[in-house]
Amino acid sequence: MKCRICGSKAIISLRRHNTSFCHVHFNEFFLKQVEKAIKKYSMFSRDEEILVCVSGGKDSLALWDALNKLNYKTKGFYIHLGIEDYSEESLEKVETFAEKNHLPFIVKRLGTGKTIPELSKKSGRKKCSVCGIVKRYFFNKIPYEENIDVVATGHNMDDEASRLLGNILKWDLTRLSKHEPVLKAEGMMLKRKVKPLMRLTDYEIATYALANGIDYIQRECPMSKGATSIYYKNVLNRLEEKSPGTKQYFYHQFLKNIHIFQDVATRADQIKRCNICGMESFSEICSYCRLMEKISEG
Amino acid sequence: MIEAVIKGQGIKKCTKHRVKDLLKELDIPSETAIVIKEGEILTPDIYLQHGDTVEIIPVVSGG
Repeated sequence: MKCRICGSKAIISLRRHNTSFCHVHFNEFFLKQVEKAIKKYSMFSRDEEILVCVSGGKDSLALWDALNKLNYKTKGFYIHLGIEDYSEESLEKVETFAEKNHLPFIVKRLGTGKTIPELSKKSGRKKCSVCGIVKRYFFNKIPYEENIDVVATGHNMDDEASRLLGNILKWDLTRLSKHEPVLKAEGMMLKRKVKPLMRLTDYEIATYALANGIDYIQRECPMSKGATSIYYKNVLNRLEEKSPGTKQYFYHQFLKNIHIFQDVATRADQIKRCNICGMESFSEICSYCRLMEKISEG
Repeated sequence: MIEAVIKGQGIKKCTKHRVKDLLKELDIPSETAIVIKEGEILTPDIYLQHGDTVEIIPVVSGG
């Protein structure tokens, strides 16, 4: 298989684009897709500092790498979730990447008794649900403390398509109405969230990471076994195998028509301050503090 | 026979020599794993030799 542009040996075949690229031209394609998403959805400008949420996985490290190559001003942010040796190993990947590229980063460690396995056990809630609450809380709190207005995550097209499938199966209109690659800032503390990898798939991102020597954690989070999102991804990948471009069409056509859901969805409540931690929230006590209350009661 | 070392899942022996067919034999959709031989990423059209060992890296991660 030859590169469509220069004719040299290809490293990737993109069935959904009916094309193939060598290493050099795949990198060009990849960075172009990231820049295209940033511009199309007005995610951020080169004047802004971007907090890149990194997990040590392929998506977030590839995102950090791409933003750095595109000359955006970034700072990494890693939450040590206290998940067995997995958290230590993924932190090592983040540290190695940051040192190699001379990039600054912040590490937030969850305190003793507040790791994801402990929070899940004490609260009786599912591990992925607890993890989501913790991450969403610190994805606002840390940038607020650091005075950074933009938070970028490594969510990709497969993540978004599988979440879309899940929300459609439940006809969750509120979630569907908010399912955009940019979540606007609200109040003073709820920061703008952006997904610059929304035009790229798991396969393309892993190829980019491996081809460019980005050392990422290849094993899955031990807490995510049996996660519904992975099941939905597998279903979509089976469809993609039969009909290349299905995932892209499914997700991008939805974005073109998202206004339909935004017109009918229930409006969010007024923004308030959490009575316990003082962070802005849509309820009197934010989800994170409610979780903390629950574990202290138990 | 090709030896496929699937990351996190062990080793499997395959009879198909073309990358695309080897993935099919393993029931792995083509864009859910990357096939590597001696550090090089292989495209689906590549033919392997009898006795080759390839590494298969699954790419689907939890969202």
